Amino acid sequence: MKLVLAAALVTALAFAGARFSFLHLSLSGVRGSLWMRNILLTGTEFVFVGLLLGSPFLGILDDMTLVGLAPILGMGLSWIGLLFGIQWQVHRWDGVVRSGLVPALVQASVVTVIIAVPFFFLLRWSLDLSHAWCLVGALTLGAAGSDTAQSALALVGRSARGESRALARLLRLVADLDGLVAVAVFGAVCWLPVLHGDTGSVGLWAALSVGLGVVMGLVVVALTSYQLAEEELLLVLLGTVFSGGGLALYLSLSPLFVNAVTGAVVANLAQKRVLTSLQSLLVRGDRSVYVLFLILAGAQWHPSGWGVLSLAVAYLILRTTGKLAGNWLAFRGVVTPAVPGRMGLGLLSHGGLAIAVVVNLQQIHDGSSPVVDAVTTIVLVGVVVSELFSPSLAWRLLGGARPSPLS
Amino acid sequence: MHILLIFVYVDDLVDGVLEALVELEVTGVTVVEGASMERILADDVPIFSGLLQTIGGSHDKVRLVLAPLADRSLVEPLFRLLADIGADMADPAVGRLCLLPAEFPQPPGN
Repeated sequence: MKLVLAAALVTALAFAGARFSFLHLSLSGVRGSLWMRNILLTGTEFVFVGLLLGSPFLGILDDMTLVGLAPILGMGLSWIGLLFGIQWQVHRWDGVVRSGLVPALVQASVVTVIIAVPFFFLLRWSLDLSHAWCLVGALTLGAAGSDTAQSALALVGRSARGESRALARLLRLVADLDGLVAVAVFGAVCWLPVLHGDTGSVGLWAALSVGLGVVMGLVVVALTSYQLAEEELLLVLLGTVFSGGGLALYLSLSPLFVNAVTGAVVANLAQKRVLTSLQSLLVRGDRSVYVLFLILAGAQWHPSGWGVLSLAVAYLILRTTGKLAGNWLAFRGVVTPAVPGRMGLGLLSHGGLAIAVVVNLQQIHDGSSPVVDAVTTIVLVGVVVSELFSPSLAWRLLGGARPSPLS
Repeated sequence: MHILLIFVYVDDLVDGVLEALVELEVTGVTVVEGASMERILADDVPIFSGLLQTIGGSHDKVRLVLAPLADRSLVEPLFRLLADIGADMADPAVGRLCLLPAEFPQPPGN
């Protein structure tokens, strides 16, 4: 009974949150710093809603209930993976998107390396984990840190005027593309034998991941080659999401990665009419699924001691350094007044795929294990702190443009 | 002379609407693509679908069909033809039809 009530509560919160969050509130009557006057609701606030509902406080979403809600999380992960992959219609990309791909991937890869290498040693030193688990934790943090959240940049970008519009578009393009590194690196983390009871090999799990994604994609392409009504298409979509995600979770693989492969196959092989309908269906669930993730990630969060919090500070410093260095390296050939050297400051917004990666790790490994607990705390603290400061940094980078009351 | 405005909110019905106009021998029709104000102001914040917006993915679009209409009496058969293809213009989720009186001034001397 408690599980049903919890599921209903979480679903209601997710739908309401998707409707009333992701807004920019211009509070002109409030005096104070920029971030107080211009509040961006980027959904991060729902982490605290989840924390409040979780075991440490109200106990509505306790550990047993969260285990019961695992299928919903699995479906959410698959949904996001499919939505991520289905956007990669390479044949539709224009010159701007093509030219932005390599720099975006370079900067995200630099961030991954700058976070993962020190954290391999930091986790070993602070949590006394084995090499294999340190590798899982460090690469997961690297994957989560490499992604740039799209929502805050979309809201901030609206205020850009004149020349800073081009820079705002470039920031958004990088944020749109750099998620590939997060999905791929975390997908690769799930190939490590340590997550499969030390059975199989990296090659075997990699082949299974890619193969499962490709096969599911071909099944969708074959099924949608018939003329289908929207309800039938929704059925195909849900079938794909449940079976692809379910199989991936059963095999301790990443539903994010497997379904991203499925999405990419569908994006490049399905009929245009079907693709448009599938994209439309998936986009409608985008924000609800994210709010759901934030709530459940918050509920599974057991705020650890000062040791892990100091690791979160290290994560924030390394991520900021990585974003600055990565963007300098990626765009060093094109640094002009339109592309400033400190462009990385505009890409500190955090969330989206980082939360999905954390939830995915919680799903495939014991949620209360030290490595999962540490990664959850580090990323959630990173997301919350980043969302406090990244919008004002992006505003400053865009020439200090202030949003109009309507933006 | 009138200008016929048809707002089509269901993507699949656009071809049917245009075929109905062709059947009534209405010429000089223009189709404009757009998005609703609410979607741009509130909904247009991507979480995971930014790339789709960047490459111009077509979801939740509004099509506006603009047609000069010489004969006002064509509106009634147009409604019938639209109803046949399932485009119920009384349903605001499907579309809206609007007729504006229009003047087409000619340059002096014509």
